[in-house]
Amino acid sequence: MMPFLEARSVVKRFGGLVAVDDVSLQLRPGEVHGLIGPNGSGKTTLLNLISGYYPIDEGGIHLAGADVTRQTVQGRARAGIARTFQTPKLVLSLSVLDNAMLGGWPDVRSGFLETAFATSRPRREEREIRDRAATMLDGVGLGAVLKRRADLLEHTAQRFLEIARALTMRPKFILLDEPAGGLTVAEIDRLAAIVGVIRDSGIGVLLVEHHTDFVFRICDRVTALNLGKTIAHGTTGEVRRDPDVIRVYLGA
Amino acid sequence: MKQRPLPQHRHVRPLIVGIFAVFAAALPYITGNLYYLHVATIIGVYWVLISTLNLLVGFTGQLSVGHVGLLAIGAYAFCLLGGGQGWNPFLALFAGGTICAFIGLLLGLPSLRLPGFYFAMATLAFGLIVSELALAEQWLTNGSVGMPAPSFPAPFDTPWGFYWLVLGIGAFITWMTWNLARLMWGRAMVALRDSTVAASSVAVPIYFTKLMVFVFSGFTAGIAGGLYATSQSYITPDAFIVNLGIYFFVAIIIGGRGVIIGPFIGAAVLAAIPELVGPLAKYGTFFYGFILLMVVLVLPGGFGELITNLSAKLRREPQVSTNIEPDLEALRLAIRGRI
Repeated sequence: MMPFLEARSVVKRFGGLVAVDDVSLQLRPGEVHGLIGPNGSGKTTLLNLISGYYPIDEGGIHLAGADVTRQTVQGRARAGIARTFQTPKLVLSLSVLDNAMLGGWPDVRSGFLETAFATSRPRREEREIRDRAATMLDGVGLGAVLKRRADLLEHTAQRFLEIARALTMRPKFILLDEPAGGLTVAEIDRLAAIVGVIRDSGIGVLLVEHHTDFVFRICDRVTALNLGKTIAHGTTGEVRRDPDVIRVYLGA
Repeated sequence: MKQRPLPQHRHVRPLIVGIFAVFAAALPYITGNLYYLHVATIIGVYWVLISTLNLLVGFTGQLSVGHVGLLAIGAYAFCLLGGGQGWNPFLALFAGGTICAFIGLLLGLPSLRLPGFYFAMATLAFGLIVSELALAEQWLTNGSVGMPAPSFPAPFDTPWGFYWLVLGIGAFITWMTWNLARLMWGRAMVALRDSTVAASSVAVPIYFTKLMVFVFSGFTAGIAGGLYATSQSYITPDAFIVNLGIYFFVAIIIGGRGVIIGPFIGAAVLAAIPELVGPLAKYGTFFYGFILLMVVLVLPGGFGELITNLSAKLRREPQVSTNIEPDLEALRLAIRGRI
């Protein structure tokens, strides 16, 4: 079985509104898959269905052949699906390093009592996760502010911290929900470089994004949604030239 | 890897803890006054309960006002087993804690799924029910007559011996809460308090974490109950009115959530006021309310936050620029796990 993360014929309704209507997509390791579409086209809803924040109405989510449709958010996170949020969801009262270290939670095997007695296992896990989180933070460029409280970070730094937290989970797939939102042009370049490194390391990336130039620049394949339906999918070049995409999304 | 500023003043905290430990241990020699020693013992007893209640309220954000019910159950279990049944007092104390942990589990299983306000109401109801049952179930509790509490065997049968026992148990439980707070479980607690969405995205088991903290705080509430009974020599239901549960809660607000030692100040205030105001005893609650009001208005983060802010000022964290320059090669190595 190929190690893909797949959404198969997914349907999600909110009351009478069909937010996601029979959408399928396939994320592959080492590929950046763009998910574009106008506001309200169902991009974020689909991301929430894949990561488990919304219960699914029809269809299924499969990870490397295993059906994870009924798995909790936590179960999917442990299985290797990490994500970031449109508005960064950080633990604002904790430091930058502590926030990134939370990404080590799927690896924690120490129980509550073991931790209370600080036996060797929780202390060893603490060291390992601290080292891993610190190197991720160095990598995304936050190595100088490890001790700073997360609420004192600027918006861009919060976005990069979320990516570092997700990477600390050592995921197989990472879902980025509008990571370029609120970033300057120069910062988007840095983000693109980071996403490139993530892809080259063999992680599959789903990129939900408004900035089409950013998507077309870094994505290997793209799915375009409109009103909950797939209007185009394929390689970046194909989708870019698709007449429906140009009409609906690029507004030409 | 980039150069990081070395933590300065790293010896300050162990030094403060050391000084405090020496002072606390030597207290019976410092003051010959048995009454002060009694007050210090009560502070220690409350601390046994409040330190872990702080994990629940301060760190995990679950607002329990019903821990007085667990304190009462621990106290009665200790007196019944250690007195009437003739168990070894230490065994009875541990059994009281275990019973309270189990009752905490039974109470937490349904109620920890409730949103914050309703959870607080559920624990309040629990506190009220226990208080009424202690009065009504005379066959078990002697009703309003109450029952005597066993004392601990030598060398813990003197006021100072008992004080050291409480001090030792309190220090041990503080150490456990410190471990929980500083390691990965502590991050999970704070994460689910501040953002359940963020916590679940990194696989923190939200309900299970709350439940474990609640059961642990139930256990130490039971231990505190047994120690409380011995410190009072005799217990009656009116020692466990629901106000006391609210005081515990308020001690944490005064002390400041999310700081291990902050609520110690709250515990000290809680224990000292009714004892020290003496002739003004009937105004004890007034003083308590007054302090609470002052803290909420002037110092919303409690004394703990004040201490944290002061120590942050002392450390004078350098204001480094946050111009983010990713180190792609470092990131590549980090993701591949070759550090």
